[in-house]
Amino acid sequence: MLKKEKRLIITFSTTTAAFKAEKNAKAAGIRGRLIPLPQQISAECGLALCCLPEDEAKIDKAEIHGGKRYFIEI
Amino acid sequence: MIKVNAMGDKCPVPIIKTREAIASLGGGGRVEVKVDNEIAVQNLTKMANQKGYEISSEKMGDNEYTVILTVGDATEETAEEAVCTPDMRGDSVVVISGDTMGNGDRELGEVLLKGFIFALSKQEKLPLSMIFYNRGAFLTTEGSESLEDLKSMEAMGVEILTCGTCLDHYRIAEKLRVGSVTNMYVIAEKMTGAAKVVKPC
Repeated sequence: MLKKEKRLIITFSTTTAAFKAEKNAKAAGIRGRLIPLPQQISAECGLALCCLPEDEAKIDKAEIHGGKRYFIEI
Repeated sequence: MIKVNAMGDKCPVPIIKTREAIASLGGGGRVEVKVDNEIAVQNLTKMANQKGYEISSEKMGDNEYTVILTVGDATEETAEEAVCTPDMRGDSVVVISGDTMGNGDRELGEVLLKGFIFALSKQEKLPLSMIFYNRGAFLTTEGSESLEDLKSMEAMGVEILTCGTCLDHYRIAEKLRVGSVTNMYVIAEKMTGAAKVVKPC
């Protein structure tokens, strides 16, 4: 695997929630992007919001209603 | 930031020079390395991956690549033998013929394709080339959310080619931000000459 970097990964229960979270993150000036759910978190097919760990405080204030949060290297 | 000139150096020299620069940081900081070949970018990327450094790379021109490593405060540079790995590129060609992956909901298709390119950039074996045509041309132009992934793959030697007719048709020729413009003869040559063509859309 290439370019492993520590990231804050937020999971969602639906794709619609994931789409909304990415839009809200952008509107709040958070550098976040949707990625395929990392295999370290789950073998299932899904989407997750990938953000910089230092943006966690901004994420708390933004309208991002995700499920679990993970700090992992991807 | 410490700047390292490793132009003209063959592996393991760029790695050794970079390690010396990281050691001289005396803690966290950034090191910018200039190299002239994609194999050096691949080896620096592998080293950064093993050590946990952040890395970004970009092809600046013919035989000119810039690699920036960000080293955390707690990182200790240990003396290890520099490993020169063989080329990470395989013999496959990835063809992107649209701006969505699969048919159905457009928003989902766009996210899936963006995710595919991200996952592709994380593979052990990279494609030899990536060809973008029709609405696929929007992936290599300004505003694309895949530019960073494509630039990092290009710096590791993946050839990124976009159909010129398509860029003209959609009036985005001025907005190409990664790789180069190609024509249908080259597209036909690359696709027929590939050991494997991967077409996610």
